[in-house]
Amino acid sequence: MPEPSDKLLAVRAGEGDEAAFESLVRRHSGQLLSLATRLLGSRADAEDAVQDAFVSAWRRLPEFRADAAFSSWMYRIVTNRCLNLLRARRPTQDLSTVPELSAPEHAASPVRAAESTEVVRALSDALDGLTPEQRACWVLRELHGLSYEEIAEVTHISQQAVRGRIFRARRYLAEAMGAWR
Amino acid sequence: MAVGTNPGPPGDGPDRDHENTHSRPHHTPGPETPSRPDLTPHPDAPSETGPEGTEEDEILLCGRSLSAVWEADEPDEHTTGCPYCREALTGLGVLDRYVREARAEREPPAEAVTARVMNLVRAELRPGRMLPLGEPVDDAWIAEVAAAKVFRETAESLPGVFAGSCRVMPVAPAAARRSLLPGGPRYRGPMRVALELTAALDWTVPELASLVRQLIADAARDAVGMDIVEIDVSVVDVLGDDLGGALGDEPPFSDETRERRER
Repeated sequence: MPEPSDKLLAVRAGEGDEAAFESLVRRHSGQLLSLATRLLGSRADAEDAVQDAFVSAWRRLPEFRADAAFSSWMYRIVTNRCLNLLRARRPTQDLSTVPELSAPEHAASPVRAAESTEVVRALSDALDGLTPEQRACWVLRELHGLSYEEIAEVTHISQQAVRGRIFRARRYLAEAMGAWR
Repeated sequence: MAVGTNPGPPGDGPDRDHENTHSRPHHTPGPETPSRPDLTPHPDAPSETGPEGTEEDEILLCGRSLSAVWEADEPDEHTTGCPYCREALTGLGVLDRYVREARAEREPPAEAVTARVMNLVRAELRPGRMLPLGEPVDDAWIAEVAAAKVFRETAESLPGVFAGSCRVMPVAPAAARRSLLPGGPRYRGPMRVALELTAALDWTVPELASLVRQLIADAARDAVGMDIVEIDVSVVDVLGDDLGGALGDEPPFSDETRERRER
């Protein structure tokens, strides 16, 4: 059974068709929730970020030009929202005199504990050691399979800068995961 | 570019990723730059230029750069026999196992988020155009969104047809503009429908367009009670398996070649 394309649904949603928008949300929310969880390290924060991103998309859809793919557009909105959240988090952590304070927040999330394997949790903890920008580029490339070109578009930086960030993230993570073993 | 000689354009600052990186920039041959009093290579040297052959890279003890070893498609003769290169590849291999497991992880359930988003969306009033119904004496109106919903559903009653954009508007453009002004006189008069379709390949465009026009004329008269005098039907896409690529949804052909027929 063929399904209507994202493009068609986005046009309809832009004209106020709520049912079309709901189809788009259903189609993409799982993947975007995955992305936000990997970027933020917290399911609850990820759900808020994805929810806000979709509501913002609904408001902006009347101006959305359908020549851009809806999924790229949503990746961009979610990634930028997560980057802002991560950047806002950092000063708070730097001011904290007891760095261990940030750890219980991770351990305390029951959803995370129940649904992530030990390996995935270890990787997620290591991701906290990256800068927000490195983390975004690495996650989009390695876990979501985006090309350098697509990542450059999503994060508004050059492909060269994307390569640099991914290399540095890889360098850091290879060491961090080796130490964990 | 030598380390430390160029602070980079002013806009570079916020994008620099230097915190937490463990890479140790290799020593650049030649005299140290006088501008930096600390002569040790600094980890936050300006750098957004990528790994290959830049100061971001790391030179292994065998002289190979780490990025070259990691980004090569196949290990060459040197790499195969070199303990430093092999160690670097092993490190990447360990990371790859984590990556594979993380990629295989199931997507989190998203029903709750979907429900929350749709509650918020439905609670938002998006004021749309009001269109005239029936006779002037009736003073009856319908939201464009509601009329469009009926016309899309009418078109989609045919097999292999999806309806996209559906605009319902006054025939005279000037009247349409006036009717959009807040508090202005609401336009009453004949209306036109512009509908875009995606259709399966077994439809021919003229056959489909003519059938859809007839169905919409009937629905406008019988189901909606609207005076529609013009119906434009465009077939803008072919229904097919077009969900390709990581980000999906590339059109099956470009805008230049797509078939667009109006009546």
